[in-house]
Amino acid sequence: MRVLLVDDEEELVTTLSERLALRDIDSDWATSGEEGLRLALASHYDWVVLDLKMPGMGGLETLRIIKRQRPDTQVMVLTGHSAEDEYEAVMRAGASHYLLKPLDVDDLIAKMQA
Amino acid sequence: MADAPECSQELAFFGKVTASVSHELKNYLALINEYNGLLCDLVMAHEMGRALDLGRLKSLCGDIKRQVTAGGAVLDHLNGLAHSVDQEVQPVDLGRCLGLFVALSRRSAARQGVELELMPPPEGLSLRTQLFTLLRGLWQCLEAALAACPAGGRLILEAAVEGGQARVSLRGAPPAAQGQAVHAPAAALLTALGASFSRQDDGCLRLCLPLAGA
Repeated sequence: MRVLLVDDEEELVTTLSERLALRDIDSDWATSGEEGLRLALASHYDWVVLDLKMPGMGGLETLRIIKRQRPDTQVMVLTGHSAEDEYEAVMRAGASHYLLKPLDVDDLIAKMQA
Repeated sequence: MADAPECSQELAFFGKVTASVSHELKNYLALINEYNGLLCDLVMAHEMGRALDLGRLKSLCGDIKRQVTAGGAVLDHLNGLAHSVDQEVQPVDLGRCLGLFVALSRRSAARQGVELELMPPPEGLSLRTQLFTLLRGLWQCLEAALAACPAGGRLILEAAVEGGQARVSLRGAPPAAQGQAVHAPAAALLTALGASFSRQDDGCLRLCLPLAGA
């Protein structure tokens, strides 16, 4: 399984990547929507884990482009605070899951493997 | 356009700042959660026979402490905002006020791709005003500057004394185009502060405030 982690908090994605590696899951990471989109379109990832609120290209816009150009890629969206309208927009745009920070890495992996 | 009622403007300011700060705090907690999770993972891997990298453990402990310290500073700033309404009028150190303002609003600017920087203000500039009202005036100036500033830009906040007044400037927004509306702090807010607002030809926004004792 190949995973792409996208969050403007670099320490978050690098630490999460290290935790996934300890579970033998291969991951790449990006710290902006633009960089994440470039990676997602240039390579195949089974899952993209995408922060919703990022400067520049936000998670929702990144999600929409990924789903339009790589419909087979599954996307989980992360957010700090849940909001009903945000949830509906994200799920309408094709996200598989809408997860709240802080993450439970084992729950994240269970959702990927379900 | 008529100014929105004062009360709703005050609540909007309070809501925007606390929403931004709460997101910032959630990020610190998310990071601490990941560092703690990685510590647990490494200990578990050790129990299953993997060599323990003490250097990595020490580094993670340092990372957690750093995030707790940074999150604590954010909470101190939020506490500063909460107490800014304690008194109607009080002596306000302008330098400290600008420091608090930048700490509270830097993330909002960054979310628009704009870097907000504070130049060290002169020491001992004191105003007599309500701190909350002054913070709100600065916020409205920042919103006006952000409306004009493209992503990738940099706004510089600085203070100086000019003509017996404190002059607070926000530089870095491009000059207004011909016919472009200039956003300005609400008239009632400027009246409450005894302040005047202007936009310079180079795009710089200025708030002139009476000094205490002037």
